[in-house]
Amino acid sequence: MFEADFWFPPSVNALAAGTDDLFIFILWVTVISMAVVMGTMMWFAYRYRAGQPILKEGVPPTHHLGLEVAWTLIPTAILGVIFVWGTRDYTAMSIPPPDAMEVRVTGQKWFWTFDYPSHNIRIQATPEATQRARIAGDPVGLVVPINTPIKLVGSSVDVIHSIFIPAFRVKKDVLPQRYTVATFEATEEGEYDLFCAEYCGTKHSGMITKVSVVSEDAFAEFMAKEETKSARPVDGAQVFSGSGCAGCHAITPDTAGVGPSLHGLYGRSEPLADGTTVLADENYLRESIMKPMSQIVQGYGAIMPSYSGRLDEDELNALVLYIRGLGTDDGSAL
Amino acid sequence: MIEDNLHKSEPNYLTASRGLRSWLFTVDHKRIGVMYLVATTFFMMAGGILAGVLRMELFTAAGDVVDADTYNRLFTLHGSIMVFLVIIPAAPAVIGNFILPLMLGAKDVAFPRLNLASFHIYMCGAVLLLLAMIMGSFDTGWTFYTPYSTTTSGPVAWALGGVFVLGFSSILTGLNFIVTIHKMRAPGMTWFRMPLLLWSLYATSAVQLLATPVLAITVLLLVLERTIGIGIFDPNLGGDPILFQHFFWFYSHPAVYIMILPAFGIISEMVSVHAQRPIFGYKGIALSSLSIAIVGSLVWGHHMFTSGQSIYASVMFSFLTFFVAVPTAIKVFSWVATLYRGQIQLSPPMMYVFTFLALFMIGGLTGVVLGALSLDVHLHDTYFVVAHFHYVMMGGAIIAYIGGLHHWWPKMFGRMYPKKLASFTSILVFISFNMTFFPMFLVGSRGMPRRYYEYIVSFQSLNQIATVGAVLLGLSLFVTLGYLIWGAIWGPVVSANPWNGLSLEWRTTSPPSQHNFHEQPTVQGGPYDYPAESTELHVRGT
Repeated sequence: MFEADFWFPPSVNALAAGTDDLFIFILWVTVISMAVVMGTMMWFAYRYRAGQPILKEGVPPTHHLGLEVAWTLIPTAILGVIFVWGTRDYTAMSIPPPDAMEVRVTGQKWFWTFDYPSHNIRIQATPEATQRARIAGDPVGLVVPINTPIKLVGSSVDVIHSIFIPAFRVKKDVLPQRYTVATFEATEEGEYDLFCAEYCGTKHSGMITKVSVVSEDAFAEFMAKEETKSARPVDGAQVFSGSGCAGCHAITPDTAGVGPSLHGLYGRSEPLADGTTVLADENYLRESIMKPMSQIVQGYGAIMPSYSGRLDEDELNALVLYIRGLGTDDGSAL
Repeated sequence: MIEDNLHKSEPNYLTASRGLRSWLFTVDHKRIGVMYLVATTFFMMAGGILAGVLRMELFTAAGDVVDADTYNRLFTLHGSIMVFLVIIPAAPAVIGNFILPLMLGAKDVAFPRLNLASFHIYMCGAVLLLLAMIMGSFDTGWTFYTPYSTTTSGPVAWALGGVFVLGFSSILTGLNFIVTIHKMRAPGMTWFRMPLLLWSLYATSAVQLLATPVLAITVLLLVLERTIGIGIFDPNLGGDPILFQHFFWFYSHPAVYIMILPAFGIISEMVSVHAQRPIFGYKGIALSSLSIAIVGSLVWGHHMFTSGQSIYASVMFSFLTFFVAVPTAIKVFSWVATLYRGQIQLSPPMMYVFTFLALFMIGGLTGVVLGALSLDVHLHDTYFVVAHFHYVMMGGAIIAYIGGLHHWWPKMFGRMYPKKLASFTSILVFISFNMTFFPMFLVGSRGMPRRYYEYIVSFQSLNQIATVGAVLLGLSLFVTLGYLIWGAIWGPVVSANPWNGLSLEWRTTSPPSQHNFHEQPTVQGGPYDYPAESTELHVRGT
């Protein structure tokens, strides 16, 4: 009972290594405090049961400052330890390592889609596709190489879903019209459950697939095989030119246009017309395409039309990804 | 006993007038309390039967008893009924309505007609919810998360209307109690001479008054979004679904304290009376109720650690969550210390105190697990959370409420239920409760998400234990209901003060007369000044 294996599936995520230990620590705190409190309660209930001769005359104590201070401070200290421990591990498992490989996760009633921008590959983890992959002997679901940090960037095309991989101790809601991020680094090859954890309707409990952790060689082989198939992420450069973005936004450095140049924008702090600054992350890029009036860059007019309703989720994701790569080292690779 | 004989011929509140109208339009807080008792008991049975169907469905991994959409509607109804129609009103509206004015030595609450209006509003809200159920029901979960709730089909707006209306019942009851406690305390009853139930009802009422309007606004916005498509919460209309979660939990987390704070008060009364000694740490318990109410209003974001809210916000909410745990721990320690050197009666109410302490400690300590950020990421939205809140809400709030009914039943109806059967049944409730909900911790930590119609086979054996436990728990509760009803009608007649309590409700007849007291009672000391010399009515140990 005091082994993590009793409570959890085996942990295979290098970034969530301390999580189970904290649970076992709290379990010990629980068992010890339950034993003390329940034991005391039952002893009193027996020792002071009605009808026993009263040994001590007078009113039983109604206060005891020392005792009350002790049972305030001791729990406070223990809870403080738990807070710091939980927060430390949470921070570690929330921030993706800079060299992490990115996988785009899209939730949709009721299946998951995984895009690999670095390989230009798309996997739709429908039950049928999983069945086909099994027959072909391919790894199924979200396929990732072992010992490689992975950054999941998730969004949804309809309602809120939540990607939950128990063996990795990872869970993150994916929402429509914004990105959320989760990260892990698998330490053992194998197949692990992936659930949807946020209620999403009829087939909520059927929105499950697997995570296949494979060797780096097997991963490369799988990617090469997938490239021959037709499903592809949308090409962001094509969306960019096809949607008329280039009419106002340059993609080369310091080129003046009607709108600001997008070169090197990602990760920069942009000064806004209202005097504040904003970090140009994925959510900023997305919002600036869908709701351009909400954040106007300093020195430019509020004239950009909204692309809400004109781009579907795939095109939008691709466009954000394309803009993100402009002016960065790996921009050319995208 | 003296008083009993003196007024034997005089009618009590139950016999003062007859006919359905005399009940439905009564302004007597006691009759209103009894009507709430009947209504909440009915809804508890309905919610319990729904839970039974859910457990039947989950007996096997495959979906077989009902179809997926029906399952989704059933758990939505189970949650909505139990939260909005049972646990939120049960302790304040039943025990609070009946006991609060008696404890204060008052003739009624401050606004008797408003009190009746609260009950009528409650019934209107309940009817709206039931209408939504009849019109094909809704499948949003009791949490109504957007954009699912704004896009799914079904009479969601009717259900939201029900929640909106129910909120007003809650607000008016809270307002009534606050004014009553401020203005109608018996002569000599200073704030720190109030029984602890009154402190906890005061804290509860404050939360009801401050938090419920936020819920009202939220569901109203949701109805507007569904009907005319204003884009507050739906991101495809420019809204923000996380905003909904903030609004929703800004009410619904404090609502947890609306449910549990009266339970704390009930336990404080019972532990002192049935141990026949002063409560340990009166001020600590009284003030911790208030601090729980205040800090508890600032922790709503701990429901959203995986939602994508900022890491910094999550850290703050986690920190504050641990802060609420401290006053709660102080209460538990104080109740146990109250047993020290007491004269402990193993009466049914005391059995429920023990049951409460055991279950509530498990519920509270697993709350600590969930408050820790790194662990919550894994456990959020799994059965671990389901187990946790059933331990707190049912093992805590409902068990304390049932215990409170056992404690005040002789006062309410002037008759006693079979005590040995009651004590025995409380043990059955304890065992079957753990059998039902403990496996859920395990199946949750092993990864089973909540609201799953089907699940993977490796979770099956734990689910089967839970289902068997649920059947036993249901049977135990039916036995409890049966002997309580039997006791109220045919049980042996009891004296005014069968437990030798010192608070004012025990100074009047059982059942009380229509106007509670024949003379204005006055208070000379604290509510727990045992050993009691002045209560002539009772021989110890009988």
